[in-house]
Amino acid sequence: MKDLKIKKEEVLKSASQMIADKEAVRSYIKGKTSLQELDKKGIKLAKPL
Amino acid sequence: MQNHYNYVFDVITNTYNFVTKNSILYRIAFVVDETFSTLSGEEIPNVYQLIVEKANDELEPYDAKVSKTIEDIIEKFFGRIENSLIYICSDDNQKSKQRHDIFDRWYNKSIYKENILKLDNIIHIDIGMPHPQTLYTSMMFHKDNLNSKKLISIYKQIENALNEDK
Repeated sequence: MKDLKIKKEEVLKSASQMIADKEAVRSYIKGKTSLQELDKKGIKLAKPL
Repeated sequence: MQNHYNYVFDVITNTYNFVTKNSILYRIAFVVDETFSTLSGEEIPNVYQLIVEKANDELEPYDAKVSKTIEDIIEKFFGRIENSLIYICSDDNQKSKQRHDIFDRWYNKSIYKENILKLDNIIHIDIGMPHPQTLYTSMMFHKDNLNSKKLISIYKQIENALNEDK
């Protein structure tokens, strides 16, 4: 694996994105957001089992 | 007797669903997560964010079969050793620590501890919400996962980055 130096702002940006994705999916589960809207945000739901 | 509810994958909603004895519908979503790939610049596949949510806002009395059902789903998830899981405890109602502690207790008592590694990070973040958020994040993966060294290395880097200003 190549040497890696991750910057704090990159982590915070990724964390913000993860929280935004989570909120969008929670809203989807409650029927307040459509699957198309998740698609537009680049959120993909998987079947990993 | 089975100690969890039956669940099915709903191809319409792309979620795993089950209904409790109180007629509460739970949906469990696995969101493809590319955070580790983005941060490392390498492709780290099969990483998912787990999201568990009731389909409506009804309050439900304590039901032990709910956590048993989620546990069963997680067990099946790690039946594929290439899978990794990210779990973020939300800070709504400022209960993220409480949620994390429950998850942590479950993990420490679980039989999966032998084969499934769990790494934790606490992230303090201000994303324009009414108050700054404290996120309790956990990453779980099978000890035989071929990417385990990479995952640990990236997680350590994330930890180092978060401690930069301390």
